[in-house]
Amino acid sequence: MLKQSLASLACMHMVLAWAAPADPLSETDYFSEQPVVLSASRLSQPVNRAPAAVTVITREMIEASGFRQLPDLLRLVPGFQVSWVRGNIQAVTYQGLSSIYSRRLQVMVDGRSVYNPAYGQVQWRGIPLALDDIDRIEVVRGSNAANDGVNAVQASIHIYTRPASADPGWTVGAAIGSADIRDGLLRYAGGSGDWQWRATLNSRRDDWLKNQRDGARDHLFDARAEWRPNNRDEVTLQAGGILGEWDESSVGYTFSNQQTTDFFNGHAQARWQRTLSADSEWSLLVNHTVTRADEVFPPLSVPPIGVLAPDNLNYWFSRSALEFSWQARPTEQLRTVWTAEARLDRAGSASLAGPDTHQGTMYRLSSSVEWNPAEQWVLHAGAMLEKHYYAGTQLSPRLAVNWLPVPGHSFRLGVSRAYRSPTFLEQESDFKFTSGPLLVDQRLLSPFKLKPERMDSAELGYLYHLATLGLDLDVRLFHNRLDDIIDFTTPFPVAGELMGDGADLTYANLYRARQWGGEYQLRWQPGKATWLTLSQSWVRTRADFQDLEDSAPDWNLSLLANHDFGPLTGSIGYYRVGKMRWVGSRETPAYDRLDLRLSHVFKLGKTRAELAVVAQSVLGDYSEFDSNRLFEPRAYVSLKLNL
Amino acid sequence: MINWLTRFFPAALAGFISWPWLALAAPEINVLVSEPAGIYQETAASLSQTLSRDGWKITLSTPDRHSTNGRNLTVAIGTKALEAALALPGRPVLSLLVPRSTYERLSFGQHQVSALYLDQPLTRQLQLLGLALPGIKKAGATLGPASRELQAELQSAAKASGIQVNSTLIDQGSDLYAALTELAEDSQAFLLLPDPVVVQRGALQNFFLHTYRLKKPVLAYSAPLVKSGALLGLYATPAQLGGEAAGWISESWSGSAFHLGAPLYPKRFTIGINRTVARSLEIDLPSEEALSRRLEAMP
Repeated sequence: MLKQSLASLACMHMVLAWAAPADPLSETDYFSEQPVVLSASRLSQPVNRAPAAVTVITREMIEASGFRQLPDLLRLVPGFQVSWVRGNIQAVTYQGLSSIYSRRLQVMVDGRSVYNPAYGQVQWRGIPLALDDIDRIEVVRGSNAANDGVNAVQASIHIYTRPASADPGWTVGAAIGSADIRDGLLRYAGGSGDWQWRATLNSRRDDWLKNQRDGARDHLFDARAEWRPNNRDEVTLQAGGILGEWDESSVGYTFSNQQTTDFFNGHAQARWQRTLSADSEWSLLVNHTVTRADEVFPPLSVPPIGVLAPDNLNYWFSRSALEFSWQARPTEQLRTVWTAEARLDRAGSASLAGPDTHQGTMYRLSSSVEWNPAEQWVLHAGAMLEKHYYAGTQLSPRLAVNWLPVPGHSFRLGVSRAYRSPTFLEQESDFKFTSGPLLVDQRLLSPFKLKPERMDSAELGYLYHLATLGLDLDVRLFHNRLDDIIDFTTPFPVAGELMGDGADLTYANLYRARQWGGEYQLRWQPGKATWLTLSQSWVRTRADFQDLEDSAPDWNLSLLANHDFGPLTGSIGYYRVGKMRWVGSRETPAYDRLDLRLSHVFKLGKTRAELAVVAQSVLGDYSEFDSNRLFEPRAYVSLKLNL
Repeated sequence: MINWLTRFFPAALAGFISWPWLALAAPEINVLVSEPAGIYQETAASLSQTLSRDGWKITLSTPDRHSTNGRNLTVAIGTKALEAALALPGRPVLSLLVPRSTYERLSFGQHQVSALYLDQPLTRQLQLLGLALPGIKKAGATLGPASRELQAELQSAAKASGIQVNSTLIDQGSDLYAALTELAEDSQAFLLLPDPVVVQRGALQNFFLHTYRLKKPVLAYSAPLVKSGALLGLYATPAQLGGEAAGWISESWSGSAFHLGAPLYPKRFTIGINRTVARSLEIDLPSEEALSRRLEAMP
């Protein structure tokens, strides 16, 4: 009886399986409207038709590099310098001219600026983003203020995360190694109906420099959901947060060897995009970011005055932005993009800038036109008009022309102007030690109304593409003129100080600089199994301040090569940086760094697994920032499972 | 022309149905449309325009008002129309605007039924890929439950065209990403074949975004898909199918009966190109007309 029932059940199962075939096709599958997926904003512009030099760091480069932290990836871009001052301060610049606070780089993650309006730098470690969720990084070498506005002066970095559909299912990853490397990753991506989503938890731990107290732990959460209710609308919702537990100060003031920083950054963003046709679409973007750093040190005591205030370097800032963008192609030869944006920046630090909350609004309108009058010519005209709370009303224009005389070769000529606004700290700083009503020592002060820094640039580019050899070459020659560079001047007289001789540091528009340089990047992919990227850069800087003249290495070299041997994939990263100086710091000696990575991909049932071994700086210690801050050789093993 | 037809079609339809006109000796054809509008109307208009010129008697009907009494031939336009035509005894039946797989399923075991398929032959699709992307040796295709039976046909088309096709079977849209990534390693382009698992809003978005990220051009089977993100499209328009069917019907009339013969793929086709995608992928393509001429000249 039971057997019979089972048999009939099995039969029924078979019938059900047979009776539920695929939906049959009908003519509606051929004629019904479909969403315009590859619309202008989703298509990248061919590099030989772009108005500026662009380096794209791809997913495969990110993986082959073996880098665990975001700023290190910029070592792959010609002309970039990256230094870890300590585990929680990363200095990044393009062609020098920067203090450890890289204030002339704009950095955007999926259209959201992560530039810190309080200090002006980017707290790279505090971006709630797992390296594993990055799809690509597009770096515009040279100013991009006509598109990205103030602070996109020396370069502009756009990080794009992977779409929610890219890695379906569960992903579990872990890494363990020397220098206290302990990483963990958990991600789920899925979808249902018109929705797709992804959520990632990631924790990272390391002890970056040798013999320095700079251990750091980060725990981050990042989520993304995409909703496509019909054929023309797409809504993308994103949110994330990070908690950092870091040794030492993240702003460069050390008062105690017990000083710690608790860092928090959280953001939420929504983007609504409507695609009218392949060439016409608009989008509305709204986002909000909050950052808070609690930097506490044991109270300082100065006999016979007593205990000093403050006992912390806490600060916070927030940013809210609303942006509308519209793309169109009025004629076959003409493409236009219009953008309007309003931003509210707020910041406060009772210790560093007085008890008030400082805030400012910014309005901007930008337009760019690309005109293709003949097959060999592309002309670009773009401008950004901004009303900025500190920089005033400024126009940042760019003109560029591409000439493509024969297939495979193209030339670019461009001129541009860009501004860097003063930051809240530069304009409002008031950092002093007090004891009751007594002023003990004035450290920082902003007595002057600062002007924005200005950079005028001209560049000549050449691009060569040879498909048969898988070869791409990009050469850039440039000249930059910077005026009104903001820096410290010292000392500034202050009345009534018990100690010290006036404010140690005061911000002012002080210097001018001129730069001439050249760089190239080469990508060669002779076959599927092998590829390499090689870049070099040379630059000369003349300025009325020695630190600026020394701020860029005479030359840089970066090489990343990858080969698939079959069961194993190997890659080599080699980075050579000439001696340089971060403005206001000691010299960073020249160094060589060699990284190696070996990985093996295999299947565990239906699970895809990747096991990798990475060895960094195998040639020995090198000076990451100055001769005391050494990056010692280290290695880690990582395992990633896609369930 | 289309505007004119749209305006006058309802009146013409009423006229056709109510008035048995023209010479008595001419064959009677019943044109059964799934719906009296849109693509069905366009196909029917193109068909009747050619046939009524010869003085043939044509009536139009819809599945809910349909009989086969006394007609020499039923032309069923659309899947619903084909189902309705096959439900009644009148024969022969010629199917139009129905994909091959659906036609074969519905007409299984039936006699005196033939079709001019909606799909373009796979060999022609691969030949177009070869013309548009000179030097292409390998293409990839993801097949779902509805298209998996194409696997054998893909292999013979590959032989005929000289372009190897790697295909992967997937059961659900979420498998698409991994399948495309794997196929891309050994494919210079992708063939998008009709299957609801691949071509539904969410999956299609992933399909085009991912193939674009992999820098692989796509050949698709319909005009909306070219607009959506395919570099190339190969398809027949309703007017082309109606016109071609009319020629076939004329030729198969013996004077007393219709002898339709075996189902056929359409000879006519249209090539669609998405110039925005071509520009971005830096692919230089000849005009649609030039490609059509060269494709027509191929065996």
